[in-house]
Amino acid sequence: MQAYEYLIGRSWGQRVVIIGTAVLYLYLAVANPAAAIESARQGLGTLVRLFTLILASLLLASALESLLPEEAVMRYLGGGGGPANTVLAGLLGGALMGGPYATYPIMRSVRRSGASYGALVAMYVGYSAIGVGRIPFGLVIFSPTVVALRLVFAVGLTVVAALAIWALLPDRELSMDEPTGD
Amino acid sequence: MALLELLIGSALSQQVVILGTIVVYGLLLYRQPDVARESAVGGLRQFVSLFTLIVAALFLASAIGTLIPRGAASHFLGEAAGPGGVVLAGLLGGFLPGGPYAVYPIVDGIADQGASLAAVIAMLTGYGAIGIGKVPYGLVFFDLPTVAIRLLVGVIGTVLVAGIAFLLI
Repeated sequence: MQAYEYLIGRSWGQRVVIIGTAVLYLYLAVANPAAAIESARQGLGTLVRLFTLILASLLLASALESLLPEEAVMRYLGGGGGPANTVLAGLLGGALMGGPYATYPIMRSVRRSGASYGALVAMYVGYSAIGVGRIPFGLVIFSPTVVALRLVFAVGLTVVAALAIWALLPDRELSMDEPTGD
Repeated sequence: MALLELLIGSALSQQVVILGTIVVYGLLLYRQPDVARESAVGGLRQFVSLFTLIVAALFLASAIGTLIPRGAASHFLGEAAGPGGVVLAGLLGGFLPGGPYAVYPIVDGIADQGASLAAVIAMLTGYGAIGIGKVPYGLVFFDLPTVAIRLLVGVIGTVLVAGIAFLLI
């Protein structure tokens, strides 16, 4: 990895985030300095609050790559197992606890251990739609009926989406996982 | 925020991840020290390589939160009615920034203003399935096509759920 890639990222998606953030803050600093300061203050606060979580998540994901039994991951989440594997991946994604910084590295580790691309996308969709970790917050604010209805629709959405992903999405490599020779 | 909370997090899910990582590495160090060392080096290397991206994503997410006023949705949805109103509720839910502790009271407030149960379900579905605030984090760990596919599935899924919720609830 080149030095500049540490600063602006390796893929264009990453560069869009880094350069886009810099441009947005420059614009805000001129057009709305108060919003720029408030946003930067909140961003810095979040970074301080999540620092150990982000570090722990990346260390845990790295350990999982060594510990996950590749044979089992390929059997249950690999591309050869049919639609049931993709649906299972979606539901497993829905059961992951924690924010995106805790769960996304784990999903990537599962992918690197042999899960198909469709299983990765289904996990990503299932985590977003179902989000078991949001249930306690839901029960504080809403009635159990609302929380249960949200869950039923989210599980239905995840299952239908997983079947569509299995049927329509070809297998591919994540661009950041392609070998670069470094 | 106390030092202990800074180290192990304030939310239970954070504490599970952080303490779980410590336990996993403790066991690995005891049973497979080579794997522990290799995993730690790999994780730290990834942390360093992603650091500016992580900082940028956090700053971008907070700017989105500042620029999209949380009360905007209630402006549009005083009394969401009809299938169009329920679909709109779902799509607006997808643009609400912040965690559930910040967004759920807003949805509850919209419900208090007269939005139907179907609109509330659509909004909660859109908030999770589309979740525009999670896009910068997605771009840290996945590539652009993957994040775009997740968003597309989220938008289509939210519209479908909104339609079905309107018909059934």
